[in-house]
Amino acid sequence: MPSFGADMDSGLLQEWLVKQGDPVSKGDIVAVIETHKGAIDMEVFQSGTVRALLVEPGTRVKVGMPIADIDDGASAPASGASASEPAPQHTSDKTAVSTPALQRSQDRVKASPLARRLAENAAIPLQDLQGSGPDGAIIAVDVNAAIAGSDPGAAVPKPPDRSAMRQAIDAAMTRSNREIPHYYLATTIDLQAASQWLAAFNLEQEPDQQLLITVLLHKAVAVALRDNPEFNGFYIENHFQPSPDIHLATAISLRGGGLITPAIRYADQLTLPEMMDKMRDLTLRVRRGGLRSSEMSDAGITVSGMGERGVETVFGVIYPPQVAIIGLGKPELRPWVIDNTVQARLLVNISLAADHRVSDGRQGAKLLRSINKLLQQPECL
Amino acid sequence: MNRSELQQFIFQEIANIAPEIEPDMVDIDEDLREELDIDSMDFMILTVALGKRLGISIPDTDHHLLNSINNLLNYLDNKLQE
Repeated sequence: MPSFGADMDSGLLQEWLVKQGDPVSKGDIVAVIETHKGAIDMEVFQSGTVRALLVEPGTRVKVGMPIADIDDGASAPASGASASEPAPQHTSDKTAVSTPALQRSQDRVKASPLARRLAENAAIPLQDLQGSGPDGAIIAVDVNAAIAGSDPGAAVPKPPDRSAMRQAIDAAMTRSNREIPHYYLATTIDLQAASQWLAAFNLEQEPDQQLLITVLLHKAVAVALRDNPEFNGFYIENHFQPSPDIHLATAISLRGGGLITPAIRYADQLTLPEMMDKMRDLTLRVRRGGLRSSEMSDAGITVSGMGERGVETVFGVIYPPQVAIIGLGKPELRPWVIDNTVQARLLVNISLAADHRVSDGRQGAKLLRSINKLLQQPECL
Repeated sequence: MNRSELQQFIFQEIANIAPEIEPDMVDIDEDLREELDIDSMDFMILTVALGKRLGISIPDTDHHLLNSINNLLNYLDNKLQE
C-alpha cells in the first residue's frame, strides 16, 4: 500500500482494475484505494505481470504492506516485488490470494467522495447501489436512501461527526506545529498589470479558454521556485531533500469541510492555458473522484489560495514533510501609493510560512520578491 | 425553452461541480457561490458548461451579473431570446 501523503497511515482497497496474469506498465491505474481524501486511482510503480493480488476488495491495509506481487521479469517468484513501496514487515500470510475470482472490473463504480465515505461507514457495498448523480454516479442521497430503506424520501443525511479526513488533517497539522519551526512573511503585491493583461487576454478568448487570476498567481509561484529551491522539497530524517521538479500542491476545499491538495505537476513548465486546464481538471476530479496517486504524493510545496471568497492574508501551516506553504489572499481593490499619489489598485497579499530548519527570512523575502517581479510582467508568465 | 426547463438544466450542471447539492435545499435568490459553497474555478466550470449546452457565450465580463441562481436564470433567459 503506497502512501498518498504524510497524513495517510492506511487505505481501504476498494476495487482491483487488474487480475492475475495481466501485464501492467508503470503508471497504469491498477486499483481504487479509498483514503481519507476520497477514492484515489492507484498507479503501479513498476512494469511487469501481475503474479498475485494479495488483498481482497474491502480490506483496510496499512501503508507499506504489500497488496500485489508484480513479476518484473528480474526477480525470482518467491521474492517477487510488491506493488507497494517498501514493505517493511511483510509477515502476513497470503491466504487472501486464494479468493476464487477477483474479477476485472472494466467500469469502476462512480461515486462522490461523500457517498463513498457514507457507504463505508454504513458498510454498504457501492456496487449494490443505483446512482442518481451525473453519469449515474452514486451520490450521498443514494447512500442515505439505502441506509434509510428503499424510499429515497426517507433518507436522513448522516454526516460522520468526526470524519477520517478531519482526523488525518488533525494528525498532519499537529505534527507540523510540533516539529516544524515555522516563520511567517507576507507582502502586498500590485496585481494591476496582471489583471489588465488578463482582461485583454480573456477578451480575445472563447469563454472556455478564459483564464482566472489565480492561474497567474500559481504560475508565478512555480517559476519563482526555480531560483529558490530551499522552499521546494521534503524534510526527511533530519535533513532537507530538494525536489528535482516543481510540483505545486493546490489546496481545494470540499463542501462541508476538509480539503484535498492534489499536485499540479511540472507547474513551472505549463503555459497559462495548460495550467488553467490542469486546475479545472483537478477541481472536477476532487469533486467527482478519479484523482491519481502520483498527484497525491509528490508535491514539494503547497499553495493555499482561498480565492475571491477568501481573506486578506492566509497564515499557513506547512504540510509535512514539505518545508513551505504559500498563502494567496483575496485580490481586492485598495488604495496604493504610486508616484506620490493614492490610486485604487487591485492588490493581493501573498504570504509564506516556511521551515526555519531549512531557510531563513532573507531567503523567504527573496522568494516573495521574485513572485512580485514575475507578476509585474504577466506577458512573460 | 421555458424557465422551469432552464432551471432544470442549471441544476443538472450544478450536479457536476457539487454532486451533494439537493435542488430543494437551495435558495435561488441567495448569493450563488455562498449558497452552493463553490469557488471561482467551480463557477467558471458551471458557466462554461451552461454556455456550451445552450449554445450561448457567457464571457467572464458578465460573471458579476450572475450572483444568484435567479439572476443566472434571468440572464440565460434573456440571452436565449436575443
